Amino acid sequence: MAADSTHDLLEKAKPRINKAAGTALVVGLAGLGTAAVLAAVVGVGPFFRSLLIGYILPFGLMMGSLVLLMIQWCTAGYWGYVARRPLEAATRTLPAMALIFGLIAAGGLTGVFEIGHGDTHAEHPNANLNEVSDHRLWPWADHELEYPHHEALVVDAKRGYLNVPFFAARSVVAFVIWIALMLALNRVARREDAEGSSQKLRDLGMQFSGPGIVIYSITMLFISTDWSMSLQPAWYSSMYPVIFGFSQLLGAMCLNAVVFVFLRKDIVDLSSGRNKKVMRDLGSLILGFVVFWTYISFSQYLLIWSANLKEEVPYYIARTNGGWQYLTAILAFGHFVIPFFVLLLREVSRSGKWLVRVAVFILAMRYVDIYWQFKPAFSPGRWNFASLETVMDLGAAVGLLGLWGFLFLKQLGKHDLLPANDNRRETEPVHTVSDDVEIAASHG
Amino acid sequence: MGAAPAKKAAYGLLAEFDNPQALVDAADRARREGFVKMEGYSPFPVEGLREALGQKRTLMPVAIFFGGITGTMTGFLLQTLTSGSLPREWDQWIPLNQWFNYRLNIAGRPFFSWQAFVPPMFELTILFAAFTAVFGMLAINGYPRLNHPLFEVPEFGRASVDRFFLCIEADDKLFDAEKTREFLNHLKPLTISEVPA
Repeated sequence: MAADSTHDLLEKAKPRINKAAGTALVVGLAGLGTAAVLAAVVGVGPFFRSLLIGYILPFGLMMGSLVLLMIQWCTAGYWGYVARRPLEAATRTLPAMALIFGLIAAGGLTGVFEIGHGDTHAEHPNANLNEVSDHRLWPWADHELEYPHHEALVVDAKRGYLNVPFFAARSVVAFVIWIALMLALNRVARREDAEGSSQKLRDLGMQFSGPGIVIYSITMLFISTDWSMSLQPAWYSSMYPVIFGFSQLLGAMCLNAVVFVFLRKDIVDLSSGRNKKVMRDLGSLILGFVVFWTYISFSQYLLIWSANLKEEVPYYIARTNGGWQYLTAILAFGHFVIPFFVLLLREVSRSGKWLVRVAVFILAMRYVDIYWQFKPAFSPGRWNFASLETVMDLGAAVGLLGLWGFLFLKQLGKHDLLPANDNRRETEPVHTVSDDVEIAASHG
Repeated sequence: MGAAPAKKAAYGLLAEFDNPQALVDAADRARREGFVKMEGYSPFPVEGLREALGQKRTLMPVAIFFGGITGTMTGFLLQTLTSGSLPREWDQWIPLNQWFNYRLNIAGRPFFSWQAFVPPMFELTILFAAFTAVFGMLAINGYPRLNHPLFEVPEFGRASVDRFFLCIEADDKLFDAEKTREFLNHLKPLTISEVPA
């Protein structure tokens, strides 16, 4: 059963939140330190690339949390009641994450670094592959870069959009909008804590959230195009922003499941009707999200494969040659086949232990997916897997994820873990049959 | 109701409740009492009722899963066997090969273009799974039986509006027209009706 006072849970979970925050900080600094040391050997350029790839996963967890927070305001399911506080805490990392992106983008756009070596120009099996800049994180920012004729036309035509000031303006505007949404939603939550629940506050939350979801979709359309798609400036896919944005929801939902169990294990009875129902809902939502991720990812591939256009296919040629095809296969099995069949088993989402295992596995696959999207853009030839560069990529990823985890957990400990004045607190499911009934039923 | 007819002539006893919680509690008590052959009826799905009635899970999800897999395989074989996907050397081993195994050259793509096969495979998975679900549901609901003894009870019409019913069936080993009625009385239902067979 849920703790009588919503404050109890925070008191009991506080030590483990602090402990996890400490671990996350240590792991984060160790990861970033490793990457920074390797940067001296591999090069500053690849270091910035590692940072960008590593940044996308925690960024996605944060943005996905913002969307889920807005969705739960609009749909008011019971899962939203238990997920609200962790989601709010995740969104409050936005200012710090904006700062981190600013540093990465500043380094990546101004060309302060020269790329010494790395596997950039290892081998080019296909002349159609996009070129990689030696001087900029995003190749279009490097005006000296030469493209094959047909790509040069496409990239030149895009210069009105893909230029440093406009790029920076779009990122700044997006962060300002998101931070405003975050402040508004957190303000509603604080007012609800202080004043108690009222129709007026619920309406207010909804009025921010409904348009907020639309605003998120539009801003993420630009951000995914800018940050990720423009790494291959000649390439385009109208499905890509959907994949990029939706993956954030999937990641945030998995994080949500992990946090739900982490905060309650051995503190409250996870096998009680109410908590079991939440875990079942989370499991079902993750299953649905995994299926939708597969649907949009495969749609993009199928359409590009069918059309077979010169500007589009290089994206998949790069990812099905030179060693990348193994990562593609891992993604197909790890991001779809395995989670799909495991989550079909109802018992999995009934047990907190298994739900966490599946969620962590999918989160790891989220990183593989991000790596698969970003890395071949930087080294389109052969995948130099056994290299210091790979270690640096992993170091930066673990580092930024750990750092974000620290920020998130610090925010999580700031307010009660369940909203005391949320009106869903009273909407208990009609009846929760006690456990002995459940056991008797399964044995009878 | 009037005088009880001969014991085995009845289908069972039907207790009426006005809220889902009462139905779940009643089912819970009846199960603890040892009744097995009973069923709950409500206007909407009631959380926990299945457990309270002591019903085991049906095999439907497993059947639907295999229905879906059958659909996937049907879609796969239907396309690979009719598009020339198989190597030429196998031709002599394939029955009626010359009848259906055309080598389809579509925009120069490989004969075995699995990418293009996925949408029909997906659609057939859904179709077969849905067929299994619908026809399986009809089968376990006793279709083609169109009438049910419960329809003889006038009160039962409200089972699809605002009433919740628990029916203990006469087939149950513990069923006894007098004692079971007495037991149901303890649960304080609105009415108790005898369901004629």
